[in-house]
Amino acid sequence: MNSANTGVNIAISFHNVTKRFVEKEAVSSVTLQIARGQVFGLIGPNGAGKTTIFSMMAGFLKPSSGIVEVLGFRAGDTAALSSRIGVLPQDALLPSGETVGDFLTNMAALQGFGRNAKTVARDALNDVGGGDWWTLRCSGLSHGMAKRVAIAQAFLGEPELVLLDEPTAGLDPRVAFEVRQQILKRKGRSTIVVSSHNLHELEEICDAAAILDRGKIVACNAIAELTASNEELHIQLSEGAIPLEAIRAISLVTHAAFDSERGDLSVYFKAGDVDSVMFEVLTALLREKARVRGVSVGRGLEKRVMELT
Amino acid sequence: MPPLVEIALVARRELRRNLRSAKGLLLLALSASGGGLTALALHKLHAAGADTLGPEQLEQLAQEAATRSYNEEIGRSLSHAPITLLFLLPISIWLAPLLVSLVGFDTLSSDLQFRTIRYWTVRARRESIFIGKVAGLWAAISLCTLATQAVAWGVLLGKGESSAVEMLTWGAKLWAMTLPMGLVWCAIAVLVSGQFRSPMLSMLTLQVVFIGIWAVHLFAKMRDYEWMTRLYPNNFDSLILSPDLATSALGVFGCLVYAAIVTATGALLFAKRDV
Repeated sequence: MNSANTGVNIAISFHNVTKRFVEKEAVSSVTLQIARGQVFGLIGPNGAGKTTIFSMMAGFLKPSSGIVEVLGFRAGDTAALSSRIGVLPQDALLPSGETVGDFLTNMAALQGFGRNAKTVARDALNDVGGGDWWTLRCSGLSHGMAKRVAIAQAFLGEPELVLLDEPTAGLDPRVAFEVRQQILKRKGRSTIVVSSHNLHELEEICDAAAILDRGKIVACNAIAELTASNEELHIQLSEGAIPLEAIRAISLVTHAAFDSERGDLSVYFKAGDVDSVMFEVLTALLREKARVRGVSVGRGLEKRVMELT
Repeated sequence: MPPLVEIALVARRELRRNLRSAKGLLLLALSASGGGLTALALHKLHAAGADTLGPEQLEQLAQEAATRSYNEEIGRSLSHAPITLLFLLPISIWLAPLLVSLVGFDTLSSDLQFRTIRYWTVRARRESIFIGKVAGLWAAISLCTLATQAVAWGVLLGKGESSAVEMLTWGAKLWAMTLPMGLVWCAIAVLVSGQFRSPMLSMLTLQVVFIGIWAVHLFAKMRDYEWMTRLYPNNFDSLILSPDLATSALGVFGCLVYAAIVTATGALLFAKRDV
């Protein structure tokens, strides 16, 4: 079983889920659990099945076989889940004939906000920096504005679970940063699932992630585990002697190698106290008057995904 | 949230969407002006007929026409209505499916095509969305036909065809009698619309379905299959227009059952499909 957290406090659970379209099996026997309060990433190349898995979580698609549970209920059980989940679908257009204000007020009303629907909708719009867009028609919004309105509807009423499909795609860097801050602000309060191609972003905001390839989960773990950030160290050096033996002698270190062409020293160690290993390795290097250009922990999510897919 | 509140919210949104859209406004304008022009043309015919035949004979002719279309009982009861309204009635009944198909073909299909429906399906039961769409479309169509009728009443009042009280009483009554049949057409339209992601395909299929229902009705009429003629919603007019309250109620009930069956089927299919 692929599991990010096997504790009892599970927000989303996939049990042996398969989804077939007419000629293609988009998702094959996926088993997955996402713990409550996590920011969880879905990663994979195009066609890996990210959006299909995401759509089954949101209840848009029904699994061909297997069970998908969301907050303890069958996915798509709107009677139980309405107002408890917020969803940003990747390719759903906003209703062209409606104003932003009408659209968000309708959404808030359907979430049961009654007379407060307008206030809740305005607050959500202000949160994404769109306070002035209330009277604009959805059809007249730019791609970035429409995305932010869609993000506003996903966060309406602070739902327990938020599913975000490509939340920062097409946004300028400043707005993308703000969206990431919105996600980080909710960390721990809401469970957030993010499907994205932006691996640096996922590495920054996620606690755990599943890497998908051709409809299957090829890795699922905490980000620190996936990136080996607690068992791998890379140091870029420009000149000076490399005290490989001294580094290998450090207690937790299992292996060390120097790539002279790239000037990259790789140090592998037993999972443990990264800071103390880094301190000892750097002390050994500085003792030999090595010129350190940079230090990175782990191998990076991007490299990991490239290895696995 | 209670399903009824969800239905009301979806229906209200659907009504607004229809009445605010360019298509809705255009159809409203066309229907209203069409109603006015038809009323004017019928009034001119009526006036010409009255000059030639005299008012009593003309009323007799109208009663005979209504008797031939329905039965003697209905012919007698309708003979008191303003004659132009009487001739407007079958036109509005016959044009209702066309209006429904033009307004309703994209009720669900356009939301499915652009996946806009996804914003709703996470918040409201699929069944509520479907029923709300039917209710909203029905409300829009009813308002559209009311506007058409109102323009016609205005024209006829302006021409002094009958008193305001008589015109409004009969006008409102005849308009109300078309509503149950309109509901069935709306349910069928949303059922068909919910099967397609392409509004164009939905519109074409809807036309085929409506014409198919009409063809089945013709076939049933030729073969005297009474029950089968009721598959054509407009055929309930012979019951609804009856002056006998029980018969009229039976017609309304028949329409409601028909609409309920179609709506339940559509809601079930919509609840099971991927969006």
